[in-house]
Formats: sequence, structure tokens, C-alpha cells
Amino acid sequence: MIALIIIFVGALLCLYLGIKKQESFSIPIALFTLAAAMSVTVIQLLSKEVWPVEIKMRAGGMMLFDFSSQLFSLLLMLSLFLILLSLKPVKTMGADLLGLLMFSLCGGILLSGFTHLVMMFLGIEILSIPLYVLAGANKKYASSNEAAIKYFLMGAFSTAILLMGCAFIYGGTGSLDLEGLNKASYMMGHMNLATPLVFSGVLLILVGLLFKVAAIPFHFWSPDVYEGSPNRATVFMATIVKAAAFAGFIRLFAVGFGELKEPVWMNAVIVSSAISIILGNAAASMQTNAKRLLAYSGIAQTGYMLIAFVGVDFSDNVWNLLIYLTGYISATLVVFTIIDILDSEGKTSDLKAFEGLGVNNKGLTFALIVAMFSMIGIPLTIGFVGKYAILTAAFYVKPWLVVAALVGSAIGIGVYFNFFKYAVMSRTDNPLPKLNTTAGQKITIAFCTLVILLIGAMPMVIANFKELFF
Amino acid sequence: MELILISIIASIITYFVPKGMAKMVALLGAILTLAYNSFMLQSFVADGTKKFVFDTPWFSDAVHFSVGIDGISMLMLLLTNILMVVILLGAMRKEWKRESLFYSLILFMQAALIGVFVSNDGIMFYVFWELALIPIYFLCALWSETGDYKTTTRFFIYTFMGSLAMLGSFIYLGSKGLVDGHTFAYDNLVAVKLSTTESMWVGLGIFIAFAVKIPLLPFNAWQPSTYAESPTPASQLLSGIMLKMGLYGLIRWFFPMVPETYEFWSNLIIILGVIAVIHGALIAIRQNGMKRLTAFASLSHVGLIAAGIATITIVGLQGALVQMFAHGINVVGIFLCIDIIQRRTQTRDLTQLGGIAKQAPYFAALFLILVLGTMAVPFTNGFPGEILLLKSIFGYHTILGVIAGLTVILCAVYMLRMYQKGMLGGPSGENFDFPDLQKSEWPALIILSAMVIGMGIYPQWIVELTEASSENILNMIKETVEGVS
Repeated sequence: MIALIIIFVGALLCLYLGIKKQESFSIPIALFTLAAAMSVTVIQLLSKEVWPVEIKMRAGGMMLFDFSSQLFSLLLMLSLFLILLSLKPVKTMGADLLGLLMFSLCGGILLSGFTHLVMMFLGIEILSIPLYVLAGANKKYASSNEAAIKYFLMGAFSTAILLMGCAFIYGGTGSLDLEGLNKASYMMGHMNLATPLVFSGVLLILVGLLFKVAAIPFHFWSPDVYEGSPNRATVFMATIVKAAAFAGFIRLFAVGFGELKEPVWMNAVIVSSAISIILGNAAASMQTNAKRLLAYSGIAQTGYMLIAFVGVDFSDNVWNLLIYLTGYISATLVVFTIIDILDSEGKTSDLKAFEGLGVNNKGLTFALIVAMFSMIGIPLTIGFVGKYAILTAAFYVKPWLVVAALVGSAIGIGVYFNFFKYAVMSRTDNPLPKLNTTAGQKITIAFCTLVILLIGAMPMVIANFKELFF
Repeated sequence: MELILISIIASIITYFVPKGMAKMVALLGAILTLAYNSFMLQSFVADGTKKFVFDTPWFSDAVHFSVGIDGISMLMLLLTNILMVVILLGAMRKEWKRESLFYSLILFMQAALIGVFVSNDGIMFYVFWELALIPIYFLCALWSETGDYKTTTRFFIYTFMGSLAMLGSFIYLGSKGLVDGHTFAYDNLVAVKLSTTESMWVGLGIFIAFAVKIPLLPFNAWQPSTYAESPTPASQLLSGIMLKMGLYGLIRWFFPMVPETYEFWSNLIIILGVIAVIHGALIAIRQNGMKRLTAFASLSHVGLIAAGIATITIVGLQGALVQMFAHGINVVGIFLCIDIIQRRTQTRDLTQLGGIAKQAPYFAALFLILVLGTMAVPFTNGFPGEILLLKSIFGYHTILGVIAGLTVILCAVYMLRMYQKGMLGGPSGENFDFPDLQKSEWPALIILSAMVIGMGIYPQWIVELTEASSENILNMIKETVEGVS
């Protein structure tokens, strides 16, 4: 909660600096507030405090910062910190946009700690609205405008569906907070009271959330929006929005609707997950634009994360999802930072821009290869650890889903090899020169690569953390 | 454990030393590993139990970093480490671009291979199995002779799909096994009882992984072109050691995991193996590219080994182990000779070669020893293994045995054809000049041919080394089978 307040104040400060035309201070201030918020969260985590925030509306609190939400918000803050580090200095980034990113992060944190559907809805809105603006931040480009409009229309539509779902749920169970929902679904599960109102409500909410995480069949916005938006907005969508939506998703469905007997939503999630993995990878392997490719591969990765919902034990599921998200975010950050570096050299985001990267930029290429291996799920990277954790948990329950996931992985190799094809294998006559990287970009890439390799090689280190918190 | 550490550290150091030093450091690393391995051999007692055990939780309690060496592992380790020194000696004759990366990948490969052969845990086995794929992929793709990465990518995708199937099977076995504790330990996975259907599916997954790597017949499409287009050290690694990963997997992991349906699988593998023997040999006879010829010859030999393993008899296993060791040495030697020829004449097309023996008698003699070894002439290393293998297949089914026995004749045909066309006869060109072996080429070839002869005269040590472990594995399979029926 303190972290949330700190970030909110930091965002306001950024906006203020924008008004005062002191934009060069904005990034340091943002970084500072994020660092402060992260340290507060870490201290709270270590002292094992649970922070309930009681805003009385009807009964029960609205927010509960337990360990899972603290860990999720820590992940979100860390990602934004790294994204901001890797940004080019002020010119491309006004202080107002920076403020918007921070506000959006506030939404993500709300989403990771809500105990009341109203808070969830607020979180989703706060998360999304700044993004509609950010997607259109390149005012002069038609594609950016297209992305903004598309994202806005589709986003508004899905939010409406989500809201409808909340209303149905309220009508069916008489409560909006997670505890009440849990009790109601427990009752229904054990007495076989199948209220159509509740079930359709759950499914409508599911649609809204699947839209936010970009899972098939609600994925249509993502490739266009990813491609059209400026890099900083795309990377934000690909990492933080996805992570935050998943944080809310698993909280609502595992805690709120987990007790529904033979949960209806489970089958929907499973089908969506299997299709996302297979079709996402298949579509990604045909792309020629790096950002579109990452959008489709992001859809496939979403599919894997959805598998985490299948497992039996809630805290295990959350933990597996966290590890998988950490891996996904680290790898995505590396690739996007490289795209950003190429972008500032005047290259497009076409895959061809990577041609001959390996000749003069060994460090970048190494990081790219590691990131891609992690996405594929090659052992000794965090990607494998995450996949292993998710798949073994799911195997007890739905073996064939794991088979679908493995088939999807096999298709997925082709996707990530596209990067190797251009970056490492091509024998072009004029390879890329040594690229200029700022210190921040170097730190981001090095940090992410380190996370991928370290956790990949020694998963016990974080497994011990798990014992600490859950 | 220490072996893996030595080679990984050597690999890292190699990457960072300045140019020119890299090869010496790499060689030093390989020799150190071999020395340590021989040191371990000194105190090794081949009684069938695992020695040098090291075990610590890795991913979680279910997956340990668990290492243990029994006789079979020890044999494979020796093969890996000896060949690694030879391969490095062979590779050092050439200047490679991006030298430090090249040698560091080779050493990394060594670490991964050692990991495969010593691992005692299903997931750890998978991890190292995959790790071995990465350096070889880059070796083949970056230093490819044709500059075409498509073949290599095909190879990668084939093997990766196979491995994923294996991972699926292991996870399934794990989910049927212990809930708490070290679920994926070798002993626990073996102890899992499956129904016939389950056993078929689990077996299929593991089988695909190994069949791609070996390669058995329907899965061999990646092999010839990958061998032909890779740089020589990569071909040597692939054929000399990586193939043996698949065979080792058959012995150590496949049959003990699915004893419930072992009859079906051994029938299948023997038939596929025997078909591969004939198929590979017949194609090899028609080949003019020397590397392709060796690739098909290798297919044929490995088919025989796989069939021998699948008989699940002590004779078959021992023959397979002896022959695995011998095949590794022979094929690495032959690739080395082909590389020498190619460096001198810029071609490895048999139609354009000839008359080398006159100009380079020492080279011709050493090459002949390797060729004879491959043909399984008595008193070379190919002989004892092949006899044992054929005996085991005869015992299994007479007609299959007879068909497999043709390999001796066919092998002589294609190997001698290669030797005759390439080495004998008149000089192939006007200004044909083929200098004899140079200083840098001697050591590798001498080591190899000495081993060909040495093993041919005294193969008993392999049998002694692996006997107890092989019997252990056979007992494991039989116990379950009797328990089921």
C-alpha cells in the first residue's frame, strides 16, 4: 500500500515537472520513486506483514496485500524500473508520458491486490486508460493512431463485457468481494446449484480478462497494436499489462471461483490455452516483423501461463505463474531493448534489421540468444524452469493439455530461430556496425540475462524463497 | 561431478583467453578431464553399483542434481574424454575463425555429454541431453562448410521434438511415481508400474527421442546432410559421441522404463535396426562423397548396435557396448582422414581421387588400419563387438541374424571401395601432389590406430568393466516382467 502511494506521488511529480518544463529530471525522479517503492515492498515482504486495507463499502476490505500480491507488484515495479532504465533520454519521452506509465503501474498494483470486484475493475481501468494514450503517442504516424483507436475500441468493449459479468455475478451471488464469492461458489459447488446467472457472469468476466492477457480467441488486437505503438508502449503492454492482468486473473479465479465444482471456466481456460499455444506459435513463425512476431509469441506464452490455472494447489499455481512471468518478462525486455537500440539507429522493427548483428555486437547477440533459448524453454534458462513447473503441476490433472503444450513448443522453435537466422547465421556483406548503447540499456540487458541464467541454473535459490513466503 | 566442472571451467576460460592461446587451453582442458577420468578409473570397482555419487536438490525436492557412475557410464566417459582429446588434436591443424568461441563450444559440449552419461535423475538427464544439442547446433551452423544453416536447423528441430516427447514421458512417469521426495530419481522412475497402454505411450515418447538421435530408420532424414555439411570436428562429435547418447539411452533409460511392453519394443527396434543395417550399407555402396558414405555406413553400424541392445541379452548388451566404443574410435578416425584428404586435394569426391597411397604411404597405412577396424577384421576393434552382436541377433531370430550378418560383406564392399578408389590406383591429376603426414597430424591418427589394434587384441577389459552393470539392468527388466506376468 505504501508502495502504491509512493508511486502515485512520483507520477504526480512527473506530471508537474512536465508542466514546469523540467523534463530532464523526470526519469531520475521516476526511477527514484520506483526504487523507493520496491525497497518498501521488500522490507514488508521480509517482515512477513500482511497489509489489509479497509475501505468500508459494504462488508469486508477492498484490498489485501498478501504475499502473492506483494510479489506480483514487486515484479511489476521491477519491470517498469528496467524499462525506464533502458529508455533513451528525454527527447523521445515527455514527462507526461512517463507519468502515464507510472499511473498505469498503479492500476497494475491495484489489480494484484484487490479483494473486491470494484477494485479489480478500477485496477483494470487505471491500467488501460493511460495505455490508450501511450499507444497513440507517435502522433504523426498513421500506424500509431490506428493502434490507439483499435486498442481503445477493443479495450472499451471488453471492459464493458467484464462489467456486465460483474453485474451478473452480483445478481447471482449477492456479493462482490472475494470472500463472499468464495463462499458462494463453495456452496454452489457442493450443492450442485448451477445458477445460469453466475455461470454466464463468470464466463463474461473470463472473456474480459482473456482479452487483457491477449489469449486466443480474444487476441486480434495484439499484433496490430504491438506493431503500431511506439516501442516503449509496446514493451509496457507486453510485460507489465500482461503480468498485471494475470495477477488479477489468478486471484479472482483461483480464490473467487476456485470452489465451483468442476469449474465451468476451467474448460474454457484450457481450450483457450491449448489453442493459444499452438496457433500463436504457428502464426508467429510466419511473421517478418519483429514486433508482430513478439505479439504472436506473446499469445503463445499467454497460453502457457494459462496452464498454471489448472494445477491443484493455489499457492503453487501462483508461484509457478510468477516464475514463468519473470522468465517471460526478462526475455521480452531483452528483445525489446535490442529492438529499441536498432530503432535509434534508424532501423525498422523488421526482422531484417537484425541482419549481421552477431558480427560486431557480441554482448547483445549473446543476450538475444539466451533470451530466445529461454522463450523456447531450453534447459538452464528460467524459461525451462517455468515450463517445467507449470507442466508438472498440470500433468496430474490434464495430461493432454501438457501434450498440446509440448507440441506447441516444438512449433515454437521455428519462431525464435528466426532471430538466429538473421542475427547469427546470415553472412551479409555489410553487417551492423558496433551499436551505441546507453549505460541504462546495458544494465537492463545484463540484469535480465543474469536473471534468466542464474535462476535457470539454480532454481533451488528461489524455491527456498517460496518456502519463506507461502 | 568434478569432470563436468573441469570441462565447464575450461570452456569458459577458453572463451576469454586471447586468440592463438585458445586451442592450447582447450586441449589442456580436455587432457585434464581425461587425466582425472583415468584417475577415477584407478579407484573404480566395477561391481554394478554407482560410484562417485553426488546428490543435491536442484529444481525442487523432486528433481535432484544427482550423479553416479557405474561400469557403463564409466565406459562412455572414457570414450567421450579420449575422443575429445583426439578431436581437438585433429581440429587444431586448422585455423578457425572465431577460434575461442569454437573451442569453447566443443568443451561445453564435452561437459554436457559427461552430464548425460552420469546423470541419475530423469529431468537432469533431459537437461543435459538438450544442452548437448546447443553447442553442436552452433558448431554445425556457424562453421558449416556450405554456409547453409537450413540442414542444421532441420537437425535441431528433429532432435528437439524428440526430446520434448521424452520430457513428456518422464513427467508422466514422475506423476505416477512418488508424490513426495526425489520423484525423478532413476530408481524411482524405474520402479513405477505402468499398465500396458501407458507403457506403450511412455515408451513411444522416449523411443522417439532416442531413435532420432541414434538415428533409427524412419528418423534418419537429418543425418547424411548434417554430417556432410558440418565442419569435421562437429561431424566427429555427432557420429563419435552423440550417437552413443541415444544408444546409451536405450540401455540405461528406455528398456528399464518400459519393461511392461519390452517385447513389442525389442521386436520393433530389432527389425528397424536390421533394416537400417541393410539400407545404410546399400546406399553407402553407391555414394561418392566420402563424408556421406561414412554417414550411411554409420547408420548401418548403429542399426546393428541398436538391434543388439534390443535383444535384451547379456551377449547383446556387451556386444553393443564394445561396438559403441569401437565405432566411436573408427568413425572419428575416418572423418579425420577424410578431412586430411580434403585439405590436400580440395575434394572428397571419390571419382576425382586416387593414387594417394603411393605418395603418402604412412597416411595410407594408418587409414587402412581404421578401414579394417570398421570392417571388423579380426584383431581390430570392430571384430569382437560385431561377433557378439551377430550372435545375440542369431539367438533372437535366425533369419534376422542371417540378414544382419550380411553387414560384414556389405561393409567390406563399401569400405574397400572407398579405400581403393581414394587411395589406390594411379594419380588422379597432372600435378597431383599429396605430401605425407605432417607433424601436427601424427598424434591423433597414431592414438586412434593404436586403439584400433589394442582393443582388437584385448577387448576383455570393456566386458569386465560393464558386466556387472549390464546384468543389473537385465535383472531390473526381468524382475518387472516376472512381476507383471
